[in-house]
Amino acid sequence: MSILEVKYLYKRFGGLEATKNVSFTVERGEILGILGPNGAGKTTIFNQIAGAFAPTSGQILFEGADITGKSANVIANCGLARTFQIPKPLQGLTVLENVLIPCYSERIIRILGNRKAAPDWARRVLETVELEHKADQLVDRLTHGELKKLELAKALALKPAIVMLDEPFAGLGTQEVAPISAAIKKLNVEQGLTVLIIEHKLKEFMKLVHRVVALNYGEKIGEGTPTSIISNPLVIEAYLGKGGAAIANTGN
Amino acid sequence: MRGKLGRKPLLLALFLALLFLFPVVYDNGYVLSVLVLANIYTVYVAAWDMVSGYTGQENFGFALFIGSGAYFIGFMTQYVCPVSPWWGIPIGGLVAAIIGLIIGVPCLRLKGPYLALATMAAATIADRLVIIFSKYTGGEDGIYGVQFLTNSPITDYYASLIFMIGSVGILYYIGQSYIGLLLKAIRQDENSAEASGVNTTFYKVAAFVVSAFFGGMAGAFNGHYLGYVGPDAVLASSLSLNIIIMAIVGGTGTIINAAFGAFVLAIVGEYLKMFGEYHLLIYTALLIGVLLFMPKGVFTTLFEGFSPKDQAGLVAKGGSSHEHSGS
Amino acid sequence: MLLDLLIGGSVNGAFYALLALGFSLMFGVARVVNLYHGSYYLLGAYFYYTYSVLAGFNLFLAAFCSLASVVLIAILIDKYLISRVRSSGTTVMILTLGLASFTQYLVRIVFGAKYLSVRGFVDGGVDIMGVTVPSTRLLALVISLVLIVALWYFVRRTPAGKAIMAVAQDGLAATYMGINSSFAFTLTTAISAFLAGAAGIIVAPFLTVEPTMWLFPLIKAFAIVILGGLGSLEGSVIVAFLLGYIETFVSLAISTNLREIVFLAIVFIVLIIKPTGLMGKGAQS
Repeated sequence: MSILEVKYLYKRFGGLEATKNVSFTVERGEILGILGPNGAGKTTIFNQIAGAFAPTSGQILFEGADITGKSANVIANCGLARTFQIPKPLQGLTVLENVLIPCYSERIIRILGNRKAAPDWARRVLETVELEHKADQLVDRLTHGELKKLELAKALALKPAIVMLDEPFAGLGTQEVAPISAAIKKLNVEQGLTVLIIEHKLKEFMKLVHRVVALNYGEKIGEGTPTSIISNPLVIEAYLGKGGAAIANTGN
Repeated sequence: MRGKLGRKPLLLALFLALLFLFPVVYDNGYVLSVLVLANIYTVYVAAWDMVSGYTGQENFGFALFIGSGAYFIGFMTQYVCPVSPWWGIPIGGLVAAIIGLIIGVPCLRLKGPYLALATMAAATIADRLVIIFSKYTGGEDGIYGVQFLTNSPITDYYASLIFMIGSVGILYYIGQSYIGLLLKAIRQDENSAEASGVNTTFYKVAAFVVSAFFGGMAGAFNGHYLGYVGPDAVLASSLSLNIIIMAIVGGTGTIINAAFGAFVLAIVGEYLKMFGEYHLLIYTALLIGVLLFMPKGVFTTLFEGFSPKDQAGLVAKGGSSHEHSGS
Repeated sequence: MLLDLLIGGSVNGAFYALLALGFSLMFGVARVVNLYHGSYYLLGAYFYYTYSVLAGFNLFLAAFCSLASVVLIAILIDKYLISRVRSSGTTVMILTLGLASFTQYLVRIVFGAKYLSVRGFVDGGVDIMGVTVPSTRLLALVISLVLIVALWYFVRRTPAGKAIMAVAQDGLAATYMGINSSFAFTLTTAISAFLAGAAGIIVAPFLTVEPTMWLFPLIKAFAIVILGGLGSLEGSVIVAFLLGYIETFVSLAISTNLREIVFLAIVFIVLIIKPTGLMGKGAQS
């Protein structure tokens, strides 16, 4: 059984069809990338899966159970964590306190057995993203790169079976991207963490993912390995416009 | 969870010790009564801060909960039998907690001015109902004959002191615990908290109910203390407003700072009465001054000076300003 | 009875509309929940009393001076007090509420707590379809409607008015288009105070003039604006008139006491069902 199945997901906002019958599955232990130009509806799909809002129609199955339309905190407690494109850390609190929030979720308290163990777990999560040394600093002082790491830490703190990352590398320089990318890879390889990732930094993206689903204007336009997606004419057109495939081929 | 508190606990201990020793040194009935009222207001405000300061849902009609607790013992006294404070106070709290549940659930989706209006409306409706059904509720005159707290001003004072310390202590403890942290997370970014697996609905309602519980207990306490329950004492909109003012002047978001604000303002308010006509004018002028020059609250601003945490222009822990409309 | 309802309701409705529109503008444009708004209404009435009765000015001059005074105070408060705390919505609410209380106490000290009586512009009554309507009320209705229409024209048809609405929609974008938003705020404050002050002047002859007169109109204006939808001027006017008619109806048909509760209960219920008001453009941000 696939860990996540998205079936005929459809979402309309008034007159706008943001998601048009998108279907795909995510296999346990894989890193699946979601590709597409801005406005393609990638974050909208994340939002529907994670429970930020319900789809207009369609079905989402997580580990076989129907989570369509359930609220965000219920889904998070099932083991599906997500990050946000723009990190919104809790001002006026320390890094540790920020990571503690998911540590006090029902899921983690159940796993740990006891609330007193939460801060220890939080510190261990911070170690995974190399933020442990800043645990007692106020978040107001973190760099953008560190904030992105914190976002990741908050998702990982839920001990999720699958984590959905929304542009985890946005706004980061190559040096900042590397440790985060390495951390994700490590978790995937060592702990079998399934990852769903939206990202525009194609170089890193392609190195990380096993498979890609490509979207444009809310529809799925392609699915396959990174190499096959790059040569998919529809995908090229999505980024370069009509006739883009021809341009790309002559360029090669 | 917090870093070093600096000299704060020491000052606090000193202050409390002073309060305990006070009647030994200065046995004036009037002064003691002012202090009792100050203690009661402190509980009102601490309870208010639990919700409004932490989850950021400012309740503009807190008197509703206070009145619920008070009128519970009032009605019991009038229609059933006089109630002893040992029963009256906790059960008054429970009644208010139920009202808190009834109001809190519908108000879940409301924020900022919308919540302000809804809570104001709810409290004003209750106030009006009491006046309209005067025949049953005693109307403006209220209900007399409520069993007294104790039989002497000094024991009254100590009872109020213990009640205040106990209530504020519990509320502070909750605020400092993981619950307080979750409430703050909910205030700043509810969606993010939900994505972190926090059942925001549960915590918001729970905070409302706990806040109402303590407010109701304090209202009942007030009723027993005065031996009387009436709209001017426990339901007036001016009471709701006064509570907000005291909390903001003290500093919201930490329970303790707001509590200090209440205690001090209650005493200052009484003291100002010696200016006769002008006392309310001066009171409001003071408040306006504090709002303009120390918007985080007097005690939050003061304690920042004592705390060894980094101060370089960063938002004070807990005492952050409210950001809804306009930001 | 129907005629009483129609006329009484209209007078009330127009009056509430005047108050609500100013409040709505302040929120829509300056993003400020100005709880001092009711006090402009109070000041309008008290200044009018001062100028017309105490200073003996002729009524038109008194009205003019009153409006000028109220607007001046409004601008000063906005510039020197509210501007300091604009970043926090709650602080603005508390500050303006504090100022309103301060004003109430000040007025009580200066003028006393008793009801004041002010002469209206006209006397007597007018016969409409068999019902005698006091002229002052009729005048109030007419002037209110004129002001409402004037505001509509200003906001929809004049460049300055449209600039203000642009700031209301998107302050940053408006600045990029060359609109001076600070000027827009000041203009809005002035208009808002003008409308509320005018309301105070025209109802002074027949409604009570006393120090606490600011509170209930404020709550009603607040509620009307929220029900009508923060940011929707049309919504405010509609709800204002609805409220006027409902209140008059409840007064006539049931009891005067109940009418406030009915209103408040409606407010509460609407907020629960539709947290952003009947025609709201959604909560802030």
